[in-house]
Parts: sequence; C-alpha cells; structure tokens
Amino acid sequence: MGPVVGVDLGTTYSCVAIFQNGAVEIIANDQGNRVTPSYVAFTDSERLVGDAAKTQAALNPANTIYDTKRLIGRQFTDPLVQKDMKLWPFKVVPDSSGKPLIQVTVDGAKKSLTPQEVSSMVLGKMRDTAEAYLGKEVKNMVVTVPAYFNDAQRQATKDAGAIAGLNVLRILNEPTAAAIAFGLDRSHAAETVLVFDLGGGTFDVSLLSIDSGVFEVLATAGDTHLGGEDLDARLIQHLIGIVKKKYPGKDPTTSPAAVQKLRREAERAKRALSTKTEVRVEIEGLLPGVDLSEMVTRAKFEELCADLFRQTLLPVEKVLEDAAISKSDVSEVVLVGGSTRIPKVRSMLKRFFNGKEPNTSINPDEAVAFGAAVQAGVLSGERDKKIQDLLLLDVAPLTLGIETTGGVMAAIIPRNTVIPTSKTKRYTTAEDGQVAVTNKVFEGERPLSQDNRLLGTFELSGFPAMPRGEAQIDVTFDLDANGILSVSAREVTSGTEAKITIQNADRLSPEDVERMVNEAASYKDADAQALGRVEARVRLEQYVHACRKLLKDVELRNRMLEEDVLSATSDLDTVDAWLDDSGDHSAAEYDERLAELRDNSVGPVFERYDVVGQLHRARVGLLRVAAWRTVCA
Amino acid sequence: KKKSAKEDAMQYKDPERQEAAEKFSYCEHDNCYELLGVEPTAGPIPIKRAYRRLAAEYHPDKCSTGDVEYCRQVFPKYANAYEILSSTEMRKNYNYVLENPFEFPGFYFKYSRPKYAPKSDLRFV
Repeated sequence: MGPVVGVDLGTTYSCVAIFQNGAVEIIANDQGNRVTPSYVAFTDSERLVGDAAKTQAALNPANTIYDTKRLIGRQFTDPLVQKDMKLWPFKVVPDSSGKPLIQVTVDGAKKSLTPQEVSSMVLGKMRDTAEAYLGKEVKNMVVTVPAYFNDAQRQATKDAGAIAGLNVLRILNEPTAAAIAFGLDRSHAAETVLVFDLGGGTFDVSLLSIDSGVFEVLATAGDTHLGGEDLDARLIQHLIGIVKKKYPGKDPTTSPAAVQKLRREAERAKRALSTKTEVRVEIEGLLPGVDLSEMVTRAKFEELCADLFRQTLLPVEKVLEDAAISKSDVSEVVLVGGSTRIPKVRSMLKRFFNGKEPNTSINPDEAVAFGAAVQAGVLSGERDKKIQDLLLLDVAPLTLGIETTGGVMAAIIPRNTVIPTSKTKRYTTAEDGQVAVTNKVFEGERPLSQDNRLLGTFELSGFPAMPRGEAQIDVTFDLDANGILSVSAREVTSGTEAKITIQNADRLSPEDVERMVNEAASYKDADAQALGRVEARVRLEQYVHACRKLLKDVELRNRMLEEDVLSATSDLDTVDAWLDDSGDHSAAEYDERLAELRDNSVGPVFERYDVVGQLHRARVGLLRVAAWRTVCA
Repeated sequence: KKKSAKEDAMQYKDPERQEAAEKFSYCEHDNCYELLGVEPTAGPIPIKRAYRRLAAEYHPDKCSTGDVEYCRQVFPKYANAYEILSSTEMRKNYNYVLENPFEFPGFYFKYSRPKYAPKSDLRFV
C-alpha cells in the first residue's frame, strides 16, 4: 500500500508525520517548518499554499483563503458562518443549495471554490511535504478532525482527501490522536486521562482510559467553533475600538489589508502574552495617517476573553458526567493545542481539578499529527512491538436518531457509543397498500428533532403493497470507524432489498468529487509548470553567473583576446537585461536562451581557451547555491 | 425467609424498573453474559477484561482471523453487551428482565415487533 502518513489538518496550522522504523518523524516542509499554515492564496501567476500564502496575506487579502475548517460541512446560513464572514477579507457566497463557496479572482476571472477544494490543496501540500522527505509516492493518509465534528464535517474532510487524489484510510479524532502521543511510551498501569485540546479554531475534550496499549474513549464533548482565532478576534475588536477612539472618523474594518495587519499583530501579541505580562502592539501605517501603538496587558486580554475561557469548562464537566467519573479519578489532564499555552487556561483547569497540575509533557502543536502517524502505522500493517498491541476504541460524539410521531427524536445510536457500530430498527407501514416510507435522520442531543441537525431524508420504496402494519422493513444504521453514517434497508416478509435514497444537502455527489479531482489535477499541472519555469530560469542564471566568474579570472583574462572578452560580456549583458526587465517566460524560452549562449555565443568562445571544464566546476558550485535559493524562494 | 420473599415480590412489581427495562432490546437474541463469556455474577473487572480481550481479537482494525466482514458484524455486538453490563443501572434492568421473563412476554419477540411507525409523508404509488 506504500507509506501511510498522519496529517493533522488544523484550522490555522497543519502538520504531517510518519511512523517508520519504530519511531514517529514529524516532517518539516520546504521552509524547514514543522507546521504549515493552512493558507491558500491565488496570485496573478500562481497558486500558493502554506508559508508562502500566509506571508503575502496582507498584500493580497481578498485572494488569500484561511479558516476553511470553520466553513467545511456547514451551511451558508449557519449563524457562526455569518459571524466569521465579517472578519474574513475573502468573499463567501452561497451556492444554489445553500452551501458556502469562497470566491477568489484567478487570472482576472472570478472563481468559486468549495471549502473541500481549499482543504484538498492544504492536504496536497502536506502530501508533497511527505513525498519530498520520503522520496516515494504517498497515496494514503490518516487525517484528524475535531472529535466533536459532525457527520457532514467528517464526510467533507474525507471528500477533501479524495479531491487531492488521496485515499483517506481513517478519519481520526484529534484528542484520541493526542492521547496516543501521550500514552504510547508510558508503561503505567491503567489510568484515566482527560485530553483538553484547545486549538486554533476548535475545542475538544475527551476522557480516555489507557491500559496496556488499549485506548478506550469513555466520553467526548466539545465546541467546533472555539479556539485561538476567537481569542484573536476579541483582541482585534479591542484594537479597532482603540483606533476608532484615537482617530475619529477612521475605521480599519473598511480596509481588508488593515484588518489583515491587525490579525497578524493580534496573533503575535496573544502569543507574547503567554510568557510576558504586557506587550506593545505597533503597526505603522495601519491606514493612511494612522499609526497604532498600544500597550496590551495580560489582564486586559484575560478580561476580553473571560467568557470564552469559562466556556471551556462546560465540556469538561459534561464528559465527567457522561462517563460517571469524578474529578479525583482523573489521573492526568493532558494539554494539546497551541491555545493551552495561555496561563489563564492552565490556572483555570488547575483550579477545576482541585490543584492538580495539568500535564504538558507532549508538544501541543505536534501531538495530534504524532498520534495520527501511529494509527497510520497500525493501519498500514507496520510490524513493530511498540504498536502491535495498540487498539483504539473510539466513540460517536453525537446522538443519531430519527424523527417519530410528534417531531420527537428517537435515538438510534446514542452519543458515546463505541464505533464502528451498527443498529437495526424495524419499520412498518401505517396505511393499507403503502409502498413507500419516508424518514428523517437527525443528529444532536435535544429531545425535539427540530432543535437538532437534519442529516438527511431517506425514502424506502420498492417493496410490495401490503395491508398496514404487515410490511417489516429493517433499516440498518452503520456508523463506521470514521464516525460517518450510512443507511441500508431490507423488507423482511417479502425478502426484498428496499431501495433507499438519502437526500443530503451537505454531501458532495460522486460526480462533484470527480469534477474537483480533475480541477485539482489541472492545478497540479500549473504548479509543475511554475516549478519548471523557476528551474529553467535558475539554470540560465547560474550559467551566466559561471561565465562572469570565469571572465573575472586573471589568468584567463590575460590569455583572452580583447574582442572575445567584449563580445562575451555584451552577450551576457543582453541576457541579464532580458532576465531583469521582463516578467515570467516559459521554461522553453529560458532553455532556448541558455542553448543560444552555450552553443552559439559565449560557449564556443570559452571552448577556444579550453576552460569548459573550469566552467563546469563553477556551475556545479553555483548549482548548490541555486538549489539553496530555490528552496528559500 | 418470608419477609425477603415478600420484598422480592414487591421488587418484581417495581413499575419504574419495569418501565426502564422495557425500553431496550439489550443484546437482541443473545444473552449479554454469554456473549462476553462471563458469569452473571461477574464483577466489573472480569467483564472489562473479557471485553478488552474480545475487542483485541475482533475489532475491525485488528481482526486476527482476517475475516474483516465477520469482525464488522460481531464487534458492535460485543461493544453493545459491554455497554449494558458496564453500566450499573442498565445491568440492573437487564438482570430484572432475565429474572422475570414472565413480566416481559414480548421481550423475546420484542425485536420482531414493529416499533417505529413512520411519521408522515405517506406515498401511494
């Protein structure tokens, strides 16, 4: 099956890791960073993903996309989407079925992308990172999602993998993955661990029992819309208020670039406040004539975010209650996610657990990818004594049920049921001769189905007409190990397979996925072309460089005829001028110029003085420099 | 002891217990204890151990027999049995059903009794 990597697809940052030779390796990207920003940007000439996209965010705000994890699997009308949109510099519009689309301008033309497509670009980048490190093709992945992601969000994440041409072997819950990272090397007796995962955009709490390699999730809860981004947003709002007060009539929210600058500085200030008690936020030229210089104290920051911090304790209480475990039975409280560096979060947890110090032994940014890589190793059949006993028993985060008479929700798979699971319910007809039954599937914890989320409507048909109550239709609800639901049905008395159609507005159809796969492939071609262009340019540049270096060589200069030196210099100057003043050329054009230099103009001159070998040596030296430059470009 | 017999009789008529017990189909056609291979008197630790052993063998990720389709079918049954027997309340209800089969005449047939009526959207074709 080839290598299987583990990917933590985060709201703000992503991370990729692999399990090989009995150890997990976090793979650094082409910039040497172990985490990659989950950013995608479109410039006039190319598509950027990761660090390159984030770096140019303030210059190109409308075409720089981030936070797609907050859109994926949601409806456009979702109040949270509506709220987030106010701070996003890129445009989000609804499609015909009410799903959000992100609108960017590529080559002067408007282009709409689904959140799945954007996520697929980030996944593709993580795959490229892994391929560059392993030197092998990567086709299979384990991708993590917040434990509290619902069916649509999980399915959409899986689709994102498919669009990138990847096979997502497993959708793994982030806190479970972190628990593996925490428990893999521990030789303790059975212990109960609470994983507190406060990331960039999502928040999860899972309670696990870890016992000799068996990781059993006892309960899980969370908030798929709470994280560092929300803390940043509070700080941004605070800074905007200050600007408005100090410079009446000026409003930074009218300028996407200004908001982007504020976002960058707010994130930086928030990070600094985890170690310092106060930090100065300085942005020169935020708006024309507006310079911001403001002291933010840790106390002020905590005050701005007080309610968000308090919200994080509710899921903690919920998992303890669901699993019927008391605070004192929790042996470790494990912190994961960058936002758990915030001192207030730590002190609150410590107080909640009656003075128990939270455990910070695992890397909060990398633990999830680490755990995903271990699970990837297990699923790929890696034989290693470290993982041979490893078994994950994960649970369904939300109750799945159907609507019954009076709009009451009847639970079919209650939350915290071990997955994979399968439940069968028997239906019958209510009228004589009825040949079709329609039912609605919901997920959520509220007693009335109208308060829960509609997953889809399924219609049973294709069974013979019978008096009412005689038909017996077995409907099987399968929740697979990814936490994704599928429904099948069978009529028992006649033995026929009932036909089942699920109308689900949140899922991409196979045709949609296929179309997006093709589009993604075209991006890949464009990327390959862009890379080919850069490489050809570098080849030409380094040839010119090598020639110039030779011309500076005193011994050779003394031997050379003046006219040869002049003609060579002028040829090189022409090429340099061509390189400098023109924009992008195709790879073929660069190669043409190179061939011209090497075979017709400068090359033959040097050949006459028998220094081609020297030229070659100079080129090899430059090649190293050039390779390094390409990496840093 | 007369008194305890009377107490038992009262307990059997416990409407709350009966109502709670009636809600579930438990291990469907199987006996939860037999499914996990434990004694009905077993404490929580042997039950947990039995479940862990079965999970290590039959979880679809493990599936030491190699027959993944079979594992997919049986693992949820073990997980379900464990869920019932590991919860004190559910186990009490289940024991009540086992001890008082006559109070639950429908129990063994329950699963074959239609339970959910369709809500609406009736279609006649």
